[in-house]
Amino acid sequence: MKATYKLEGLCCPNCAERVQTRVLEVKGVQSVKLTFMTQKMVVMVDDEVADTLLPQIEALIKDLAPKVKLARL
Amino acid sequence: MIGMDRTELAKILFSGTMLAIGLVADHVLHADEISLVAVFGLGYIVCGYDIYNECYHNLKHKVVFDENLLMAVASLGAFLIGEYPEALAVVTFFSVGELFEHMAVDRSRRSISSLVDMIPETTNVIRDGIMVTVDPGDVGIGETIVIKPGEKVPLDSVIVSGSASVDTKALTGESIPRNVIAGDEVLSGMVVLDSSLTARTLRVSDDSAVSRIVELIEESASRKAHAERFLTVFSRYYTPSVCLASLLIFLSSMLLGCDTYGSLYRALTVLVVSCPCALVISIPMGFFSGIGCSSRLGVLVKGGNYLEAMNRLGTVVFDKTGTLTEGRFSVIGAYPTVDDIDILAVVARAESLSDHPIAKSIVQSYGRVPVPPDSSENIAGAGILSVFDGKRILVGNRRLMSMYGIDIPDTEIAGTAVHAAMDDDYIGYILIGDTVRDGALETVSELKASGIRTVMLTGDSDAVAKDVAKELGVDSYRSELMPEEKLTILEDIIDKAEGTVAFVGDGINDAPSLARADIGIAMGGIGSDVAIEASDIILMNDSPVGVVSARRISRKTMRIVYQNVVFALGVKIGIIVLAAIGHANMYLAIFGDVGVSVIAILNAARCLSTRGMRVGKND
Repeated sequence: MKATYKLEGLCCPNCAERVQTRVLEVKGVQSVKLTFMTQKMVVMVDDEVADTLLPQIEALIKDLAPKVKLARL
Repeated sequence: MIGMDRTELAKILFSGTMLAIGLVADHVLHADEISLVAVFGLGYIVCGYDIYNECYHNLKHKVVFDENLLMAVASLGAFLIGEYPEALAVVTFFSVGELFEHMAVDRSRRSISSLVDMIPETTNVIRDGIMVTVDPGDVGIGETIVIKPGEKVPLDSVIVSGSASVDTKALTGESIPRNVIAGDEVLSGMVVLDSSLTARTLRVSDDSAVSRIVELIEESASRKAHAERFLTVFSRYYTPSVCLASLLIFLSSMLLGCDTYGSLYRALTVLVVSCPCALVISIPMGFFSGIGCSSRLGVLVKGGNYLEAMNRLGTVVFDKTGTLTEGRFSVIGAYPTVDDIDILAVVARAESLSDHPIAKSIVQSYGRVPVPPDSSENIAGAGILSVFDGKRILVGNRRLMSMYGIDIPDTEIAGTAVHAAMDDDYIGYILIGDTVRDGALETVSELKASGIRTVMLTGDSDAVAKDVAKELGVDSYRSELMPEEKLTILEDIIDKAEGTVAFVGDGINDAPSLARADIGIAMGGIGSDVAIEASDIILMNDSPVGVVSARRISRKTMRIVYQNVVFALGVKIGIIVLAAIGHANMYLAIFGDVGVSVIAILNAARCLSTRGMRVGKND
């Protein structure tokens, strides 16, 4: 399934790339696209694990970039 | 300003005040060391806290070379060697830079979200004969909506009744209102100016023009230009290299007899300029702003890579019909060779059952509804054979005439001629023309003036093509082409071209060429899915001048992007060199970091301005 997030307060494109790389490393994530200018992240995850995976991804982002305000769209 | 920024600002103001107090205490009051450490230290903790916090999180995730760590090391080092004001200045100005970056990037983002404001919050829809006010998101396809004067069109719809002037500026950049009547389409984002319209919805809110445009622009940010990709890779190596340089400078200074403090100071100064933020932010921001700017002029660019390609434009290949010309045929004149025959009436009647655009234009120009012929047969690629009033009427091109052994008198014909014969006798011809679009001439001449080759391709006859080519002054043209031949010729041009090749077409039957060209430019707006899919740049206006606007914007954007790269790297490298030989202090390094960021970002913000980018009457 597809989930879209808004990451407000990302500091720069490098941070965006770092977050993208780390989220992609999470097992069960098929693809991640995080665009700095739009602050939007689209993640594709395996359907059956989505319920546990999405909170895991959210926690990871909070930990990686504590200043970012994360919202599911 | 969002809440987070306000806290940031408060911290910066506090630290800035502490810096000022500390400097006065040190230089004017000559306060003792303990008091100075207290004042500078307090300011340092307030602004430095976030930096250390980020470092902690980064280290936890094994991220080492991050600007926060560098700032932490540089400022802490400065503090420990007794350069308290420098330490405080590093963290304070670093925070100023970050705050400024946020604000500037947000401003650039807002240029896109102002488009979203073109979707009204409510709309009037007629349900069960009663007008109700609902959210546009709740309106389905095929519902009847009422748009009152001054209101924005909520969803793409076709007008059922009423006529009005509509302002299409938000979509097309065109400031002159357009008149629409029943049967015309109106798109979300247009504003109805002077009277009420009743319309039937064609698309739901999420698929309507404004939503699609916003989606395209947002999507464009993920199509990166080479410059952006290069920078991502570059910044990955830049920071570690500067750290290494810093270490080498420290060691070599020591070896060359500089004292430990002096050597450390040099090394720490280098660390301060190691943050590539200025470049890394200013470049995507420049492209995004350039794309935002072009969308205001009715030109949708699907990615920074296409702006980059437009900058290296070498050849523009135009499809003729519907791009350089209106694509609407009209009768220019009727030339009977026999007296007592109303040739237009005869031809109109003979062609009245045909769907061919030329036949339609002749019937329309005749102005009356002709009596249908007794029989009518379509002869592919040649014309029509009709029978009425006991006569065989042939209407079509030269080939049709020769197929039936009819001689055409030898006359010079400029344009497309529809020949006619009654039984075995030639009776004359009707001359058909297609008018050149507004802006086509300016487009071709400005491209040529910039040294770009212009080529016109058409399926039309050579006579017509020659006429249009001469009128517009295109460098070369090819006529009488089958659709697949256009693609072959385009491929040939691409193979031989210096610079990139753009293909401009109406998007309906040119999809393969649009997709094949380096830059596929579709005219005809956001309405056609095929055009949006196949093309890289979409012109919302029915005028080819968007090609010139897109080129001007791409030139400006690329110039600004390169200026930023050269400026930022130049200053940083300069400061590193000065620091290595002991001629740079930490304040200069702070300028090399924060000052350069601010200047580069302000420069990138210039990409948003549409001044001088518009072509023609609005310039």
